[in-house]
Amino acid sequence: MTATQVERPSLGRREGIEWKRILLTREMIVFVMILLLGIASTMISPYFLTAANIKNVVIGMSVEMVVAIGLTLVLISGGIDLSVASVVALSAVVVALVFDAGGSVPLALFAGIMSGVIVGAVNGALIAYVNLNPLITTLGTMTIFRSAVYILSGGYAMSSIPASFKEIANGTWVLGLPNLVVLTVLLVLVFHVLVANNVWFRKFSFLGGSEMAAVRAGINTRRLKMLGYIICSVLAAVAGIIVVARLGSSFPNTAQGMELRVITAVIVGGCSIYGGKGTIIGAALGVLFLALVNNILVLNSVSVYWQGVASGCVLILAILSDAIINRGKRS
Amino acid sequence: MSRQALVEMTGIEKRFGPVEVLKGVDFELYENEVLALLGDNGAGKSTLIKVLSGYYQPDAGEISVGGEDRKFGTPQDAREAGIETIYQDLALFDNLDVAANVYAGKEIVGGGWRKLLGFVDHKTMRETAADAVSKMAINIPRIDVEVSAFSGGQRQCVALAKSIMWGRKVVIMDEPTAALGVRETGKVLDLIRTLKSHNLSVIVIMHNIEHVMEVAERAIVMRSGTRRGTVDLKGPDDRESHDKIVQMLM
Ligand SMILES: Nc1ncnc2c1ncn2[C@@H]1O[C@H](COP(=O)(O)OP(=O)(O)OP(=O)(O)O)[C@@H](O)[C@H]1O
Ligand SMILES: [Mg+2]
Repeated sequence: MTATQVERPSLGRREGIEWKRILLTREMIVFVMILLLGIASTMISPYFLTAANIKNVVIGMSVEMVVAIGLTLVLISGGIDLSVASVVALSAVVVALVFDAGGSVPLALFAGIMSGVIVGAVNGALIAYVNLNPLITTLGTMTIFRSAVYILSGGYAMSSIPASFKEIANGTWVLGLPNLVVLTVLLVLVFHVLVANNVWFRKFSFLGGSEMAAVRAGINTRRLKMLGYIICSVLAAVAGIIVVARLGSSFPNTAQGMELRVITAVIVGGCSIYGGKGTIIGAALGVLFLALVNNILVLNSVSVYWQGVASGCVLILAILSDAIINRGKRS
Repeated sequence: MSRQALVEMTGIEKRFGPVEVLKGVDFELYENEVLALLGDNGAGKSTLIKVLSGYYQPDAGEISVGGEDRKFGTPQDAREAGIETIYQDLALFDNLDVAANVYAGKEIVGGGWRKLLGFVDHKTMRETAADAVSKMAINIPRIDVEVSAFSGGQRQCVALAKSIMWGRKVVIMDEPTAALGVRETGKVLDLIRTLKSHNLSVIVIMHNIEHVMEVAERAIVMRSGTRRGTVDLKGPDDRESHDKIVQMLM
């Protein structure tokens, strides 16, 4: 045999901790940026590191973070879902309608979640089984679902929400933390661990890496795609439930424009819009980072109109840093 | 020859609409043999091996593996019969590491609570995958990086490690060296020898006769959907066989 014999002592085993590799992961970079931003903000504004402000930021970003989980899953699988924000609003209005009609809390929860299952199945069926382009399909359903919200609500805010329902988001059942924050952190951790370790959830990264290879590996890619969109919409519906419970009312313009904010955040957190790349923790850190950027702008009385400039710059810097880190690697 | 063939195809016919692509082709592959399939562009080589890998169903003809008659409705059927095809695009997940690629669709689930949650055993998968690729003739610098960074030969190595690990009997490679440079081509030829040393049989489609002479023990030559003949090869310097092949190709 002419096989070249090469020493491979390290193959498969990890020798020590490789700091360079860990430090250059997107999650770590964003995490360090968050710390730096936190330190800078503390020095700039005396209000930043107050319990009230931190609570504000964390509660404010919870809804976007829950939406980000589902969107990340879809992005990892190689798709995209622009309809998430409309689904948040749809689930919110469905919940409010149930209460308007005198329904109970469990019924409202069930109806809200079911609205997510149904619209997710619509997105998923069109994309996975009819083979429509996900970007254009969900652009269409985004406007359809938003219209449905206005039709269902007649364009009015609905506020007949029982106190016991508001308690679901605002109560402090665990360690004095607001429930919605606990729920959000739990969802982020559970989905992160599942995507990294669970046999079934790992299939989403196979699908996003190469659909053909996934088929050859025996994966039912159509069904998987469909279920990805359903999970995404259900999480958006959960976010809608959280919104109603927190605010005690449902507005037809709930979460308007949120899809683009969340997509921006998860890309900052390391997701690729080309599929196959990203982690849930990374996406959550991206949401947190942008929330902090906006917060420090607000604390320094910078006009809210500047928030878009800030998010946009962060996004471009993020993909720029990618290009720099990946320079020299094969594509 | 009275040797019992491992794979035998007889009278394979395949047409696409009006075009008769395979006109009753016979084919045999022996145990632990490296067989080259040769022929002009459009001779029907790819179509023939796609019939064997379950990708196409023949219009007529029989397939037997290990003396048993088989019908392959899907590539999965062929795989279960021990026949693995390495596709030209290699069907790898560029975004994932070697272990994930090798184990795609066949993950090792951990024991105890991890089994309950359906969690994969990253450590065992990484170690066994490392073991499998280290048996190959190509050096993989590290296995916990995305395979997108790998060279053509290294990617072949990952794809082939799969077939060794899953205990396949036959590996089919359709033009594995088509996109490779001289050095990488040499490595792929080494990989083919490695497969043989692991008691596998290999069917390889190649256009370069020098490469065929270097690695194969026998060649079957095809021409416009028929079999021209077969030649036993006795190494790279076997001029006689070389000339016979060239004649059949003309
Ligand atoms: N799916 C198909 N539909 C119609 N015709 C086909 C199909 N697949 C192959 N053919 C035709 O069958 C003939 C044989 O094709 P095949 O790919 O088997 O040739 P080959 O020997 O592999 O050639 P090459 O060396 O160029 O790869 C060609 O004329 C081709 O155009
Ligand atoms: Mg071919």
